[in-house]
Amino acid sequence: MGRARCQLAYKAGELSSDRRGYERDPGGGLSGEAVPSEPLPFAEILRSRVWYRLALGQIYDFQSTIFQPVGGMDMIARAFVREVDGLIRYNAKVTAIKQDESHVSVTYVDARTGSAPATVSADWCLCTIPLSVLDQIDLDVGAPMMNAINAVPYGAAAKIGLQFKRRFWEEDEQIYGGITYTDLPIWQIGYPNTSYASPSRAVLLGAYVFDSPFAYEFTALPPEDRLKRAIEYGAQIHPQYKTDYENGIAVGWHRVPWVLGCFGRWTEEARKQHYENLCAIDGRIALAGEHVSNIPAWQEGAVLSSLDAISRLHRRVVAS
Amino acid sequence: MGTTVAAWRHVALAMILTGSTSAASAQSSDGSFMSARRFMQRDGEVIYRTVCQSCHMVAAQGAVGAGAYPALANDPKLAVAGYSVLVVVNGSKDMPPFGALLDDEQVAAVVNYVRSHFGNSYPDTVSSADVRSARP
Repeated sequence: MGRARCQLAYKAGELSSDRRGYERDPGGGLSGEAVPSEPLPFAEILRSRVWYRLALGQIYDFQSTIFQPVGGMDMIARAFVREVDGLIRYNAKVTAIKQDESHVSVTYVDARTGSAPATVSADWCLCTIPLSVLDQIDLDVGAPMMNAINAVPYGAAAKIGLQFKRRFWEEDEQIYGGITYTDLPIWQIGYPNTSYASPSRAVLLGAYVFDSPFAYEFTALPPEDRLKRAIEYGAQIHPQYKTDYENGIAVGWHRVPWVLGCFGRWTEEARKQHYENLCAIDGRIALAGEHVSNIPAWQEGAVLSSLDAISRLHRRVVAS
Repeated sequence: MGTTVAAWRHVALAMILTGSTSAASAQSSDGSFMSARRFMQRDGEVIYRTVCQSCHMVAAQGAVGAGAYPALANDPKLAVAGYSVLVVVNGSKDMPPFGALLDDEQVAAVVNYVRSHFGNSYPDTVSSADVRSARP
């Protein structure tokens, strides 16, 4: 895009290139004469639907500065783990959650070995198991909460990481971090926002699709074919994919064994009918997680839902 | 979680509402990867291979993790065709509804395919009209 002249003629020249860039950039001395670039036909700009992409950064969630944890989003969870070290029992696949008037008991097996079931009990249970899994567990709650658990389907998503032997997006294209949006089935290419200009290999987010036919279609492919497709599509934007690709990984989010979905897909109707019942403390059991929040799919929703549930549990305990 | 999914939904929705068809359409011959809005595959087997298989797996054997995706192979629940149609159109528990992503003919095609493969051999079939009447 670029600026139109005051007569509203949108054509090649300094004024339009000042926005959209030059055919040859202005430089120094005798070799530095700028060559303006040719604007795209107006119809082509409209057809590209550039406005949707331009508007993304104006969405409320993105208006404030968002920081990225060093090492990735997983570091948030790992930081919590560090604070409660020794209290977590890993690979415990819960098979039943039962309650009576004074206790909650949880039965589990070792997810790796399928060991004989073990049971632990406590006064209260704050359960953060995703509804996609919880709806398959032998669970002792009343009909309102059970209906709510069964009312929320989970979204499909696929995410692909591609490793390249050099940072061609920086070296060749002067792209340092950020995202390229596209209507190709990969939807976006995310560039690393760290270690700029380091002369080593690096990983791109090569595709991120969700809640769309593409999420199912990518996941239906064997992992190596998902990569092949992502490379094929991405190479239409960055031909360097063809020469610099080293390795990759493709994850079908709804096939991650402990979550079976990307996030709880609430509809307005389902929320009206079931959300309060999902949040309510049922006897000695309460739920938390992004699915028990008004910010689905965000870690913030999960954290806020747990604080809310713990506060309500605390009041209940103190009052009793 | 911990992603930009939530905010992106607004954009996805915008793309869906205006019917974005991917620039990649020329690259697919079976109808997959053609639209961000709807599945374009027509054949029942192709729909299974490119959509359902994403959870129910290659041999319709299902998958087991903390929870499970049910097997559709040798599945007595498929005996009543109308039940299969209802589940595909409206979803069930973890499974999202596909009614807005598949038209009547596509639902009928994939239900008929699954009910006659993977060790299932139910002789009756469903029609587009059956699917239409199952829609909410």
